Amino acid sequence: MYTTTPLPIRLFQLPNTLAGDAAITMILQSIITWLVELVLVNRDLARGGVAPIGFLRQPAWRVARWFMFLDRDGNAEGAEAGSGTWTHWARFLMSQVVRAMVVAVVAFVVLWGPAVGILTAVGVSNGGDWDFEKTWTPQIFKLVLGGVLGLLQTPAFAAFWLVRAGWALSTNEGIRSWS
Amino acid sequence: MKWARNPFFKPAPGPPPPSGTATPSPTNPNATSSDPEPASEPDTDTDLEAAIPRPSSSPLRPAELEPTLLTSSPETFTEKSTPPHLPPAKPAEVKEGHRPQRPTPRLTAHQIFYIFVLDGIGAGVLSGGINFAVAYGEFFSFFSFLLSFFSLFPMYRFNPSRPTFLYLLLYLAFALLIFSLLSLSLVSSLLFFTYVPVYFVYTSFHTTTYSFSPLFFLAPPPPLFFGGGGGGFPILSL
Repeated sequence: MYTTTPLPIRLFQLPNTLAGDAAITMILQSIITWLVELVLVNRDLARGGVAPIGFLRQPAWRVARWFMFLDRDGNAEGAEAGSGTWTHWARFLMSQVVRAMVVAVVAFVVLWGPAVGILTAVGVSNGGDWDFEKTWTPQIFKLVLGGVLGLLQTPAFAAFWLVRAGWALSTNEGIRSWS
Repeated sequence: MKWARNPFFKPAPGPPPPSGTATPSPTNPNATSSDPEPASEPDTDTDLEAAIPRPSSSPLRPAELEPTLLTSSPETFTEKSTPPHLPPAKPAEVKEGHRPQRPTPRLTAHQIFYIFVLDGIGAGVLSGGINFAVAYGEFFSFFSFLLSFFSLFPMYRFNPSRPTFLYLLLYLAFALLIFSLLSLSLVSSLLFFTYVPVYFVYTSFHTTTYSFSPLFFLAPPPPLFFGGGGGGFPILSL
């Protein structure tokens, strides 16, 4: 992407903006990681590849309980959209992506400032903006940013599903598989 | 707070349906009104999420959880953890070794490995690599990257007037690599785009009525988390 572009690479100005790239990377990677972990970790949990975490207490805060899928009224909305319809899939996906976006906002708040700060130190100051060569700063920046994001987010997502499965199995979700 | 129900989970068990008026199950397109479920068999496809109690009414404390987890057999555990409105658990349908493990009372070494090594360092390296590749360029830029990398070493340096044996060997190896990757992607995409439609058509054929339902290609989503099988794409039917 940056190696072959004929346009200048700068920190803030379009078209090749590293600060904007960092923001987009955080949002997209949060969503992609969330969805991948949703499938992978729950697959491992369902097959017994990893044990759920069973020693944590459920949160009492309403927002936290919403985030962890804890207060769901099964009868209220199950009737209007039957389990397994296309709209049901879409709404489920939306409910997952919304949580991934919440994580993306947190990641942005934590990581975007330091990322831009480090880039200002690396780039060449040019009238309020910073210029970069085509190699290797943008590439290494993306490498480090993606690596740090993955290193921070993915364990949290995996632990999220392990903890949630622990609560679920301790109540009745595993009723069919237990006996 | 209202929000979209999780379609990976089965709907909540209502009152037992009157015999002979069973409705088709959304996750099983083969179920029609002509084959009602046996009334004697309890419906254990419960809405797995609906019955997680609030902490105010029945808090899940480690002090209460641990003795149950550590001392009780699976049968007593299930009985204790089953809310009173639910029917008793059905005998095992899941194969041994393919069912969820019990929640652990403390963080085990395997969980630490799973969370921080497999999903931590592994995911970090993978994400970093993907981001680097996106920033560097696309597939054929990777080729030029390899060439430029090898051109750091004089013996591999490209010299059209005097092509060395090593350079030719490397060039052939890269060409072979690219060719095989391209053909692999071609073959896999062909397999994918034939297998998926065939699978959807195959699984949505009603063996009882010998017919397809309308919109059969929109197969119902399979349960993902715990419990039952069902139709849908096999990669997601867990």
